[in-house]
Amino acid sequence: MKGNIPLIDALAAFTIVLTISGLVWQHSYDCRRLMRGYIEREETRALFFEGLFSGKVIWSDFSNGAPLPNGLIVKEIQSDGCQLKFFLSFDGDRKVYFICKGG
Amino acid sequence: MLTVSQVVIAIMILQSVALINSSIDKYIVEIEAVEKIKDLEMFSYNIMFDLCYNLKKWGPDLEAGAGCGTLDKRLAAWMDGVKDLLRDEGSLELEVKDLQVEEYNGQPCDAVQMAFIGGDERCGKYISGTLLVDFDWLFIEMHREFNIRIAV
Repeated sequence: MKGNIPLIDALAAFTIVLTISGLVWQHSYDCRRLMRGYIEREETRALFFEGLFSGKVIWSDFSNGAPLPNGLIVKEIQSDGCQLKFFLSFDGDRKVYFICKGG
Repeated sequence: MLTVSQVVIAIMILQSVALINSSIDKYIVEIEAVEKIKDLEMFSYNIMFDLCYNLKKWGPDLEAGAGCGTLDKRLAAWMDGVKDLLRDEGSLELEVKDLQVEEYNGQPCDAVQMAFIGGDERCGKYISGTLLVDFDWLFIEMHREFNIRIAV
């Protein structure tokens, strides 16, 4: 009879809570997508730093739309996969660029 | 009706699930904090390169005999501009120390800074100094110090 076997009822409650909780968590955090985003960003940052500190990146590369070293490109508008910001300012004129992997 | 033991077990299960979720949240917060630190580090370098770019652009005026007062005003305006641009990234403090403008006589330049501004050895003025960058965002405090050594 229902309620006479507490352990089985508790197990059922556990399963239900775990399932609902898991679904809610998966819905709110798409972990794989989140991690892919972090990895992509880190790869882009590493490539950009490599280009920057090897002296291959000069300021004019940003304004003239030239591709950066290591297959990176610069965009003036943020889009998917282009979250790395770099700015240049001069006498009140400020421009933010978005760096992403090309191809 | 639930028995007392069922209620106790249900509470324990809920606590376990909450603990699992909070530990996952903790990892996400850690990852985001690391990501923020990397962003601030990149902005610090960005500020340093932007200063070099501005000094390069001001170069002709310095050669025309602009005094330190003019340079200080320009630096103050540049700092205000950068702070405004990065206002969403946290609290930012900037300071340029010991800035000196001299005739260029082959003093050692920073190769990376020179490459970024597209400078060469035929330049007339040598600018040296220290840029201090302090970011403060929630529980993250970052202090960076850059030596500026460029010929413009």
